[in-house]
Amino acid sequence: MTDRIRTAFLSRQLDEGLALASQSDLLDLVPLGRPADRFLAVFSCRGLVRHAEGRIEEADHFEVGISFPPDYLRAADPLRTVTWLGPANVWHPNIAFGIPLICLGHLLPGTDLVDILYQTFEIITWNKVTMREDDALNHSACQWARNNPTRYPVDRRPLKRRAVELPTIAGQEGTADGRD
Amino acid sequence: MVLVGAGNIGSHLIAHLGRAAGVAALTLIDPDRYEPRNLAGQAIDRRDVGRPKVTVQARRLGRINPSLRIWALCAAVEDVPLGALRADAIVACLDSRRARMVVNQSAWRLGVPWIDAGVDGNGGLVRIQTFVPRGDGPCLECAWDAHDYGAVEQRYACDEAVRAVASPTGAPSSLGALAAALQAIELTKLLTGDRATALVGRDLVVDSTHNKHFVTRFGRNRSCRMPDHEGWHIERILAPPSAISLGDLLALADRFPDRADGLVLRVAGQRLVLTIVCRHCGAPTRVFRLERRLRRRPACCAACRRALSPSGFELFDEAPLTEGLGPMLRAPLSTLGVVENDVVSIVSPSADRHFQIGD
Repeated sequence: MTDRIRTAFLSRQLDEGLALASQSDLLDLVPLGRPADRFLAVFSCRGLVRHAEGRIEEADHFEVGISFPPDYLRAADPLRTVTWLGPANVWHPNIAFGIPLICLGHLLPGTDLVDILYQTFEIITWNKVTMREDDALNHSACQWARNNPTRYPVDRRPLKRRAVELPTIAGQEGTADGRD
Repeated sequence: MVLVGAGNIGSHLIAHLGRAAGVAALTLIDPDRYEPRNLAGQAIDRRDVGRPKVTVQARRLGRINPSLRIWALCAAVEDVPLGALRADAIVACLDSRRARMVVNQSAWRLGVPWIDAGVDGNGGLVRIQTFVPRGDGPCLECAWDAHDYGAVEQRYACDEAVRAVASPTGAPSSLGALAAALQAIELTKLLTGDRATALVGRDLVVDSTHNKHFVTRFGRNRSCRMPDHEGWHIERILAPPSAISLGDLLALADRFPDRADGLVLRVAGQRLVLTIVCRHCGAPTRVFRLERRLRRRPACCAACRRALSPSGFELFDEAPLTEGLGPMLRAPLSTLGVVENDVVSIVSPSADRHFQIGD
């Protein structure tokens, strides 16, 4: 039997999520399921990875899976709602190294897809960082963050392209999407 | 009768249940063991510390009423098969919103009345509510708002090993005993059919500090987020999970008129894993098991043979039932991870059929 409230919620998440992706140079969104209750988010922003020899450098391809199970509007499960899909050697205190866990903190039931995408983006780009080991999934990255405060944020671009007002020339008007 | 929670309220309620007329069988559900700090507030003594709560209370019940049939399930109610909650009534003595939600939804699916109780040690408050699944009656969540849902306990990735637990209520033994007594009285009303005075659709709050009590009426919320107000018609299959296959259930579903549009399989309260991508070699392995089964017996990667662990993105609440499943259709439900009293559902676009498995 149809859960009308959930169906309406999923429809809105699909519309708003695709709208954000269409207005972003840093996000691709693939809806999955009918109705779409899972999304594959591919971020092409800059973040950090750690290689086997210990070298930490920038990368620009990150994948996250987002699920909205049937009871999502009543009880959110952070472990299931957002899954880190790769790369496995991502480097960030809020993302586990080698296992598919990312911590966004407390997740209110019914949190919108767009909010989750923004929170994930802020983590990947090191605009949001936890400095406490007891709050971190990657303790080594947490320590590295405290010792290397000049290395982040890694990417300061906004997730959504900004509209830019162009100066008008007599008889003409102009606006355009600004691109960094 | 089912009693969920053997803590402050539940441990005091046991004595009333053991002596209540009309209670011939009782299932006790609680995942915890008694700790030294419980001695101050719960109906136990020193020799009970360290033992499972349900075992302690089952023995106590047996001494009070040797003729009672008692089942003790040392498990969280979230992990108990839905059919195990089938009873004349459920009495909930919980300290967790999440557990209450599970009891509420289970009770409505099964059509079982349930009585909820809560205490607040700081305010000296006791709360009792009775819910009877029926046409237009309110459920627990009908009175919930965003604040209530926001307060539901969660597990976090940074402490994934910790079960989502509520904070202790800090309530003294006397408050728990008061709540237990009120619950026992409500239970008597339900069992004797005295619905007129039972707290159905009403919330009783006793303020023991200021010697007051309040009764609040509430009705069905048409926008309630709990989707199962209609209840489930559950058919019994009197055979163990080892004797029934997915193919047998598919044959039962032959009567679905819109079967060609696709049928899906669900197991109430459980999640399915269809495919796991190996974190070591990246190879996908088809699994088709309940997550519960994989926790006990992990699958191995088809390529590198390392143990597999499903990620959150690999958990599903349903799986398409197609002929293409091949050998998995002929395998017994126990292979999938179904246990006694699980309720297995076959769902089509227009109808749901629910089967409780087990004899």
